Amino acid sequence: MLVIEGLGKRYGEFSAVQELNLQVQEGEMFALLGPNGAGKTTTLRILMGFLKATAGRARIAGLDCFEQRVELKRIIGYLPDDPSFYDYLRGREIIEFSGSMHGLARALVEARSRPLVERLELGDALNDYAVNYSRGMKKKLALVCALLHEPRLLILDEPSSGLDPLATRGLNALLLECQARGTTILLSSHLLDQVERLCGRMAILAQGSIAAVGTLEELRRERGANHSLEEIFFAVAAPDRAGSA
Amino acid sequence: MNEPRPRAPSTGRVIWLVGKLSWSRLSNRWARRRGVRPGERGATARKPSAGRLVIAVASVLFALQAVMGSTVLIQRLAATAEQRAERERVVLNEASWALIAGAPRAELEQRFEQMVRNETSPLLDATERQERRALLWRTFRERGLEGFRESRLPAVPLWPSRQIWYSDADPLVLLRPLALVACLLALAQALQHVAGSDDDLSRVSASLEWLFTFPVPARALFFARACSALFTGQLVWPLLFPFYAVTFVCSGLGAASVPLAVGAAAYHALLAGGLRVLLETTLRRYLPLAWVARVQAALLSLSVVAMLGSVATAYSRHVAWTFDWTLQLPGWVFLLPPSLPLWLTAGGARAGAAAAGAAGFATLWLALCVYTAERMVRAGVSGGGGPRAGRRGALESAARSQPPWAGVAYKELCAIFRDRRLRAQTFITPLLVFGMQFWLNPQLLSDITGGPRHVATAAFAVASFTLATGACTSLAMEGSSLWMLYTAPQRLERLLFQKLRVWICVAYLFAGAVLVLAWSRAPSLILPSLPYVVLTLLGIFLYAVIALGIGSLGTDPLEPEPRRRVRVGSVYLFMLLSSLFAYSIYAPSLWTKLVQLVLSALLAFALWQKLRDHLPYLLDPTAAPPPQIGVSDGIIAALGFFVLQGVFAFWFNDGGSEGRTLLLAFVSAGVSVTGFALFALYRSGVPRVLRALGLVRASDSRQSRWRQIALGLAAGLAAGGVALGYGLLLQRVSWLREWSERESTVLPDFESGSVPGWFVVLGVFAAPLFEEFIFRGILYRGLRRSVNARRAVLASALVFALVHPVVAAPPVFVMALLAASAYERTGWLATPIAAHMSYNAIVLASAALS
Repeated sequence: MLVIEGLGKRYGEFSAVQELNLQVQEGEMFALLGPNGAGKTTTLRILMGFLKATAGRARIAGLDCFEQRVELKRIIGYLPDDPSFYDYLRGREIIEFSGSMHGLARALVEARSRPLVERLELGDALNDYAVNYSRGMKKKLALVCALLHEPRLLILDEPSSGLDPLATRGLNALLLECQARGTTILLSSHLLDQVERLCGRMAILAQGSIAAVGTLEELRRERGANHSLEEIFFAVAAPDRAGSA
Repeated sequence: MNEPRPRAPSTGRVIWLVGKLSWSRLSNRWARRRGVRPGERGATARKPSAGRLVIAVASVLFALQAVMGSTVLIQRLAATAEQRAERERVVLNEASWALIAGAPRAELEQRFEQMVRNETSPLLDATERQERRALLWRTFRERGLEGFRESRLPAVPLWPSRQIWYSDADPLVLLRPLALVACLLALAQALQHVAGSDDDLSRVSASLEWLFTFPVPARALFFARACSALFTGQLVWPLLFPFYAVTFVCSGLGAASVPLAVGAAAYHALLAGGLRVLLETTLRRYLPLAWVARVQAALLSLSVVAMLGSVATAYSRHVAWTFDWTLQLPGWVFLLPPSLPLWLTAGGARAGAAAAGAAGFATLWLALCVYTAERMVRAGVSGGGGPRAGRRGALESAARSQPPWAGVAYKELCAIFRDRRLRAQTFITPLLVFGMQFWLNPQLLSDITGGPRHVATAAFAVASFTLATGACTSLAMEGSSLWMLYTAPQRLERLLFQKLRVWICVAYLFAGAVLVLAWSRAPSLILPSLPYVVLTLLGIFLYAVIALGIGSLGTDPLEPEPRRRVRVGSVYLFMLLSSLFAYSIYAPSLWTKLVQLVLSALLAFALWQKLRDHLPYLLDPTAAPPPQIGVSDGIIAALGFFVLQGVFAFWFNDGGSEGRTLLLAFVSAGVSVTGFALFALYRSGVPRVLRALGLVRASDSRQSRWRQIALGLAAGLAAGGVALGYGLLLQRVSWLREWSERESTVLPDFESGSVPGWFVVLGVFAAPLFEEFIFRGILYRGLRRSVNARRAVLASALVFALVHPVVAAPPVFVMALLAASAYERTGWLATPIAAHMSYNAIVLASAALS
């Protein structure tokens, strides 16, 4: 589904991502882990075609992430880390707008969004202007927008940041259901237990490139048995601080 | 554990720290490369923004305008003062006086009539012209030359100088009216600073809230915020500074004028900074938040009124009124704080006292504002709640509020009708701006209804003003929500065009309102103005695209501060360009109108193409589109070619053969443009630039070199045949012959039946080489990148024909069609050059033979 080969992104002198190679299979739930500034968001933004890679290439379902970004948007849903919305539109209008951008009829948008809105407990707030939402509410609204067109690949940048424990649980269940329906999910996260529970495979990024990749079992095997994901994370991403974990 | 807690920083230190923070922000914005070690994270590098040169030019124009406007104001006030002081006679400027003073008695009346014409023709206002004419003639009839004297002031200067200042018994005679202007400017500046920044006053900005988390006194934060007006006040340096600098130079302060003007502008900035701190804190604390936004919009409108008022005082018909009115005011009015810096023009002890007074007042004012604000925020920085206290209704009411249709256009309409600032900017500002014009100059309405072209021009002006505020900022308005458009499976330029449709409708609405107003006053104009109205409606559409292009190219969507997101310079540039369209409304011939319209369309297309190139890279701080040949390059090359021909013709004109001069100018311009275009395209990194321009033959070309040239020759012969047939038609059909004789321009050195040698060199060698390089090599290549071959051939041929005289245009159009089609087939510039050469040779040969 997703193939990244030798991907690199430089901002002037600074290399945000370098020599990144990754493959995600259809129907997989894959996590990108790593400390702040490791290059997770940059990678996801390159996949969305917001940024142009300075080296290598990234393809989703055979389509180039930058050159064919418009066609690609039909099959991707995206949740940014900190979504912001037009301050003159209400929550419901943003959902409508998002649906119409994907060419969905109003009735279909209504039919698809209603169960999502109810599950994410967003219903009461939809008449409010989205600019007044809390961060968690904005994330929920952006998630509804990302799921409206039933994408084949979901790209989620720290989906549970800002969500309360109840909502996080609801989100996890929703993601598992999406995966069961065949949606591929690529997410970045700092919640290691969430990743441990949800994701089949994961990659740990450090300083812009992949330091470790595989299933939890494979990572354990590489680092010796019985390590928790947290211990593996520290060992890979911050070897000098691994002892204090 | 027992370490003593660090002491909270002092007020002075906090001001210093916050100042340093603002400075870092400013320097980061400008720093393109800073010494960051490899691997270390510095400020993210940014790509050079598009059109910096354009912005620089627009800024220089604005500054020049401020300097010239202030100079003209002072000159007019000085002339009024001189006339008021002279009770006996009418004061005439140097040129007028010279005309009549030494005139022989027999010619005096005739000379006087000419003088009256010269005196009154610069006055655009008919009433004013009438009054001045009446005064001059009455005085002349009653007292002859005795009734006049020469002015001691120089005539109409554009640059400030000591000589235009007037002072006699009362050295403060100019200070009074200037103080009124200064007060209005200061008011406009202060209100603009309070309400005009894109900060929503009804929300506490994140940075201020963050600063409040530190253990520092609110007093220090407010002081720092007030002082930041020195950098952030939008009208301080482009408007107040030039005004004071010009005033001080004219009053004779010499080299000290610039530092004193800096001080005066800074003084006003600090007053505005204090006012802003006081007002925003008061509004947030005591008004419901929904009302804060309304008050903000009202203050902004008021600042526009103050600004227009200050400009209006410089109108010729208002200068005398301003002068007389300020004379009646009591003296203490001019000691009010906004007028204090002007007392520096008085010199001596009064200037010293005014400077001390200003410094003292600024300190006191800041202290008062900060103290009051500090007391107000003891219970929090805002009254609480969101800016739009949302109704938490049930889902049923939500269903009712659903729009009947959705999409980008609906979103844009929501923005116009719900965003208070945008609503004020769209509907109230144009009403205020044009309403003020009509109020200040009642003559304007009857001027507009004075002719069908005036009506159309007025409609276009109002529409383009709407476009400048709306279409120019289309992309910037998306703000931080731009990511939503990028997640849609649609090309961004299409989405922007959907937004543009809404703005075109708004522009048509305003243009329609002006037309209805004008037509209702002068119904006889309805029919005669219709052709111009059609032209205007077309123009509004084209200029909407141009506004979108210029505005979007001048937008940096990654800029966190909303008001810096779109560069003001690009809005000015759009206004400047749109004023050029008036020329096509007033152009005498249909042909010139058509040329203007097609050139405007070409400009719109070039901007659209450039925008389309840039849009995919907007969210990337460093990546830029790969360099390619574009229509804009073609326009620049063609314009450069025509302008340089004029420059070189002037240069080489030594009074000798005009033909030789023309040839030299043509070749020099061609060589310069070709050289510069090649250098510029090579420097910008266009890959394989010689190949791209068709200067080098494709190595994989299947046709032989000679075949490709033969194709060109054949195209030229065919077009030549058409030209011969067209020539016959011109001779045989009488009305065509009359038309061609009327429209033909006579070239120098032509005698009937012969073609001069220079023209052969020009036509057969120079013109094909350079014109093909510009029109096929660059322009056609640029067009072809974005449209199919048929459209590119048609468009490039149309433009090529339009830059020729109207009589020659039809066969030239055919030649250009064939040359471009041949170029499309071979990709080698030699083909169209051969076509052009053989075509010109046939036409010249037939001219010589006939």
